[in-house]
This record gives sequence, C-alpha cells and structure tokens, in this order.
Amino acid sequence: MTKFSKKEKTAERAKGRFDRERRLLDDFCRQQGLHHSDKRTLIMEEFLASDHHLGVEEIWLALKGHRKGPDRKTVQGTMELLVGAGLARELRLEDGTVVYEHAFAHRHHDHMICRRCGRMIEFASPEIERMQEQVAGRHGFVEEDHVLQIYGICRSCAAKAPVDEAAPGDEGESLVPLAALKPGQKGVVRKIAGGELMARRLAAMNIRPGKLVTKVSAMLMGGPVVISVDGRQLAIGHGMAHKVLVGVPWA
Amino acid sequence: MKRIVLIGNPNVGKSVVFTRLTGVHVVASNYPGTTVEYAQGEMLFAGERARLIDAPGVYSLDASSRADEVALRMLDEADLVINVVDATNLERNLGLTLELLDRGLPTVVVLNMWDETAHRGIEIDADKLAAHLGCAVIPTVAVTGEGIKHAIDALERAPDRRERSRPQGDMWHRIGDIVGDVQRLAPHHHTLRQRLEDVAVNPVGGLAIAAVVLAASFAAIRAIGEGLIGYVFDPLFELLRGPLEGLAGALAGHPFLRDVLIGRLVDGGIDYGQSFGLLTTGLYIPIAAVLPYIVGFYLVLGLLEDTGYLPRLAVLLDRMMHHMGLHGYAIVPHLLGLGCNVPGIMATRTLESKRERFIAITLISIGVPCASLQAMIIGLVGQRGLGYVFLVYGIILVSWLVTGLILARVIRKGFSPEHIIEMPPIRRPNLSVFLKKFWMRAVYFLKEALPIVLGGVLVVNLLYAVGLFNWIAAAASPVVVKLWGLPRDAVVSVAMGFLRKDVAVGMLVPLALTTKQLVVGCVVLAMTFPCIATFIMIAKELGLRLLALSTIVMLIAAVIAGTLANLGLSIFM
Repeated sequence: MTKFSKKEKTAERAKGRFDRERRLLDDFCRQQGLHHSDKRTLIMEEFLASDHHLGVEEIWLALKGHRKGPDRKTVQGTMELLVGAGLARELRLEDGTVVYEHAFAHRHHDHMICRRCGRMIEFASPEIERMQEQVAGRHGFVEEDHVLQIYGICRSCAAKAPVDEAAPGDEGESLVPLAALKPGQKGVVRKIAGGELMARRLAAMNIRPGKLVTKVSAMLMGGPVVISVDGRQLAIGHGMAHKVLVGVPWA
Repeated sequence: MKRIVLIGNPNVGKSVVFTRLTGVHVVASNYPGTTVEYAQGEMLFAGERARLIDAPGVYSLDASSRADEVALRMLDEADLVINVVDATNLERNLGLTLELLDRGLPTVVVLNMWDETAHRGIEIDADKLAAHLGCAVIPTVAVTGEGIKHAIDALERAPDRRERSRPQGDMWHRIGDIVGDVQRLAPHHHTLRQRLEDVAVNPVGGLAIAAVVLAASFAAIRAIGEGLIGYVFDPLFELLRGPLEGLAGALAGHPFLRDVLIGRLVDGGIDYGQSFGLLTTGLYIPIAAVLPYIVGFYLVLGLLEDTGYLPRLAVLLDRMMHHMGLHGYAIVPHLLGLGCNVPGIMATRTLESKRERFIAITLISIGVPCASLQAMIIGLVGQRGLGYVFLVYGIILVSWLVTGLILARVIRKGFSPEHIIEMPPIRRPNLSVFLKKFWMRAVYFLKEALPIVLGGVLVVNLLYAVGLFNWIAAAASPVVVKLWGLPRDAVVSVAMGFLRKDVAVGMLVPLALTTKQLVVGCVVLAMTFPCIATFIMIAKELGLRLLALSTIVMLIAAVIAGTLANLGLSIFM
C-alpha cells in the first residue's frame, strides 16, 4: 500500500510541475497568437516525461503509434515553440544532430558527450563558470550565455575494449551504414545515428557499439536487412539499417 | 494462490518450460484489455498449488510494445519470477535478467538449452554467474526436462530483495563484465543448420524455398482437411442423419421450430450444406466443413513456427506487405485465411495497430478465398480448362494487390511500425510442445467460433423467413445483369454467397453460363460478402462501424473488379 501512495505522490508532484509548464506554454502561445492544439500538448507531454536528451526524430517515433501522432514538421515546430517559451533548451552536437533538454526550473549545466556510446553526462562546475566570467571580464566582454561540450570517451566505454577480438581498431577503418555492407561482410558497430529510443531498442537486441555484426542478406527494393550477431540472425528495417554505422577495415 | 511469472526473451524455450511445469489445466486467453495472448496453468510449488503465468516473450522491460506492457503488468502482480535464459545467447538475454533482478522479486534464472552450448563451443560457469547475479542459476534442458526440478527447488529458497539497494552503473557494461568472466567461446565451424538459415533469407534462394514450403503446406493442409472430412466427419454426420430426420418428422406440427432447428428439407431429406437449420448446417459448417481445415492449418502453422521458419517468411515478404500498409508478419493471417477466413481474421490480433488489422481483415475477406470455395472454383471452372482457373485466381490476386495499395494510401491514421525481428535458430520441433499448442488452439477456435456460427445461422434463418434476401436480390440485380453481364437468376446465387460461398458457386451450375460469365461469377462471389461466420467474426474484431467500412470497400472492389473482368473478357471471348 505504501508503495502505491508513494507512487501517487510522485505522480502528483510531476503533475503539478507539468501544469505549471503547460500554463507557461499556454501564455506563450497566447502572446504569439497561436492556438494550443492537442498535438502540441502530446509532444510536450512526451518531451517532459523523459529525462533524456531527445531529438525530433525520437519524439516523432515515440508518438508515431498515437491516434493523433504528429508528423516530423509539427514536432520540429513545437520543439522550437517550447524553446521560445523557455521550457526546452536546444543543444547542437558536433555531428550536426540537435537534441532538446528540459529548461524549466533546471539550472545551468554543461555536457560531456561520449563519442563511442553517445551518452550525455550533465555537469555543473562553479570553478569553470567563475573562470569563464573572469576570462570574459579581462576582455571587457559581457557574457550572456555559453555552451560547453566536452567530447571524449565515457568511463564505462574506456574501461572496456571492443568486445570482439576480431574487431578492427579505431584506426584504419571507414564508417559505413550497415545497409551498405555486402552480404557476408563483417563490421563493428560504432554508432547508432538515431535517437536514444532507437539505440535502446537495438541494444536490447544486441546491436550496440562494439558488437561485431555480419550482414547476411538484404531483401530486394529496400526490404529488411538480415544481419547476424553472436550467431543469431536478426532482420531490421532498411531505414534502421541506414542509421547503424559500422566500422570496416580499409581493404 | 502464489503467482509465478515465467518470463524471458522470445524463442528461449519458455513454452517448453511452461509445458514441463504445468499439467492439463492450461488456458490460453487474451490479457484483459489487450490482444496479447498468453497462457496460464497450475503447478505444485512448495507443497501448494500455484498459478504459473507464461508472459509474452520480451527483450526488455522498456514498455515499448504492447507485449512489454503486458509483461510489466504481470510482473506487478507476481510473487515469484522464473527467468528463462537462452544459454547459447547469454549476453543478449542478460539485459532482461538484470532488469528483472533490479525489481527484487524472488527470482531464479533458468539457463535453458544447456545441451546446445557444447555443440556451439560455448562454456559457461553457472556458479560464477550465480555469484555475479546474486540469485540461483540452474542449467536446464527443457525439452528433456533436465534441471527443471532443481529450478523449482531453487525458487523455493529464492530470497526477496525488494528492500535492498540496487547495483549501479551502465547495464551493458555490467553485462560485458559478467559475460567476460563466466563465458568462454571456442571457435566453431559453419554448420549445415547455419547454411540453411542463411539460404532461407537470401532474396532469391529464399523465395524459391518459400514457394516450395508454401506449396507443400497447402498440399498437406488439403490432404489433412479432406481426409478428415471424408473419413471422419462426413460418416459421423451420416450417422446423425437418421435421428435428425426423425426429429424433423416429430416437429412436423411446429413448422417454425422445425425450420429453425432442422431447416428446409431438400428432396425430402436433410442436406447438411443447404438445409440451414441450427442442428444441421449450423453444426455441420463449423465442425465438419471448417474444423478439418483448421486442424490441418494449425498443425502446419505450428510446424512452421516451431522450426523457426515463419519469421524468415515474414522477412522475405516484408517489402511487398509494406506497400499494402502491413508488415511481413501479416502474411500469417493470410495463410490461415486460405484454409478458412474465420481463423485468419482471429489471427490478425497479432498485428500491432488497428490500421493494420483493418487493412488485413478487409484484404482477407476480399482476396483470400477459403479452402471450400477454392475447391468449388477449381472443380467448376476447371471443367472449362485449367487456364480459366488461373484466370480467376489472377483476377482475385490483382484485386487483392490493388485494394491493398489503395487502402495503404487512403488510411493514414495509425502506423506500421518498423520492426526488429529476431530469427530463431532453425531447429527440430519438440513433439509434446507442438501437440499442446495445437490442442490449445483447436479448443480456443471451437470455443470462439462455434457459438458465432450457430448464432449467425439462426439470424440468417430469421432474415430469410421475413424475405430480406429477396429484397437484396432485387436491389442487386442491375449490378449483376448490367455491369457483370450475368443472367438475372445469378442474383440468387450472389445473395446466397452471404451464407455459404461454396454453395453459392454451386448454384451457378444450373444457369448454363458461358465461360466468361462463369469466370466473372466466381470472381465476384469470391470477393463480395464473406460467409456469415466470417462476417460476424469481423464485427467482433473490428466493431460495427469498421465492419460497415470494410463492407463498403469490399462492395466497391467487387463491383469494379467484376465490371472490369466482364468488359475485359468481352474483348477476347
């Protein structure tokens, strides 16, 4: 029983915050002379319910099954609206992808991004903030905002070499989409160029950075791609197979 | 009663463990409020009866599919957990295991397919694994029953850790560490089985194999179905003929009751196909005409599933099905529909979205002629030449394709999810699991379909009595005569198609049709209203609103196809 009441309490708190956030968006929409559609609420709920850094693609994917599922454009537009309303912050990563994080009632922080698994770690360092202010001050510069992204390898990736002995090293390999492999060709998964949601689904099926995969075949005319991981065959959609980037050694 | 949930990835032998643990008290049903099927049974646990629930196969507890959601809800209600793990694919399976252990319920990990590890050069230290996981790990070979008893003993001693703290850190890295420590791999060669697996998904060779497998399946299903009808069910109903005709005589003073129970007498006797009484046609259709093909289909389908072939077929056909707004797995209900549309429509429950279900159901009722209808078409049209049989099938196939292409573009609500499909290793099926599954399905079909068909026959009898069919026939006659080029009397046959398709085709015989008319007649009969049993099944699955929509699509498709066939064939014949 206690478990439930605790759950309810958390839910209530979350709801309270959500209501505040929603009011904020309502006000913003009114200011801008926009109406507040069900689709927008849906997108906002999805975004606010997640603790992750989400891209447009992921939000769209998550809502695709919904009766009122919006198209990518609507998601894009709504996210821009949320940024404008101060509910979301946009982060542009080195590879050009854009992700959004919560901004309402969240303090300023910076990010470390793992180049291998794509994990984003948030940190806030008072020293760095102070130093930045000092540097800006020395130049007579008035700081309004800054973006600090540290790229590298996260602790757990660093602790672990690629799982398969057959895996080629980082050097001397080229990155190609899984779909582009020839039947029978092997490669080591390096990056999932989709959102976190897709990466999680693929990881549960053993397709994640560091895994050696063999392409078995591809159905004609953009059909599913069959691959083999640890001796198991998996079929993944053609679209997904384009987003799984594998490293293959130089010939 | 304690609730024990059996959970694991798909294709890890979970059903075999379930079959081993439960007795005969097994029921398959849909999880409340969902279309996800699951089985539950009773077993003896710690000297008491306990309920064993076979959760749907899931890869994680992410709740990203309906199966995941059901599994999560089952866990919320569970007292104990048995996690079945495929020992030959430890790394992937451990993801779910860690998620389960994080929930803290008393858990035992069953390391199934232990005998397979040796063949594949895999060596696992089960004790070390148990130390890492902090719960009992029991190697088992479920198909022989080895280790199952140990697993249950271990479950009795499994501690409850709901109050303990959880280990932290990235899950996949934890798994990498564990697997690195407990598993050793020896290199092994490509086996025949692996070669077979590779060929089966080759875009060219795979299709050739699929064609052979499908042809063999249909031959087997027809042989089983016709064998059962000829040697078991027809003789059985012949035995019933005497008593039923006696009953008809006894009811002579109550014509209404006699019409409902026995129906019309044809040439002074009961005709099981045409009498349309509850006790005659009402019993005969589901039991003697449909069930035999169901038996054949479920046997063959079970075989295709248990050997691991079915997902490969789905992958091969995925691209084509996508054009029709479906994904590869939608081929299964279509295959079933070729035996009888009723189980085909029931099988659409496995499809994820309502949109897919609507498209699949509409396509099945338009473009998938059932076995008894096919038998009539082949028999009747075949007399005019085999080429015409192919013509009928060709027109139906094209109509199916075109309707699908249009439906996929018109209905944009909902979505066809992009799937990751795991293809289980090709393996020899286990007989007892195979039979148990077959039995559960057959009983499920009888329970679901029998009342529906009986109710349908009753309703149609009443409608017939009030003259509704004459009215339909009059209304339909312009279409039948002008657009389809059929004689006026064929209207009766079209109306009859609502009751029994095969009988309706048979009613074309005395009309002395030209070959062109016969081809058109067979096409429109195959494409218009499905039989009453299918019709009611659709209403049950989709609801009345979508049934009406589906019917409109069906009528439009039949009118257009019949008209085009009539006009097109007029040029050549």
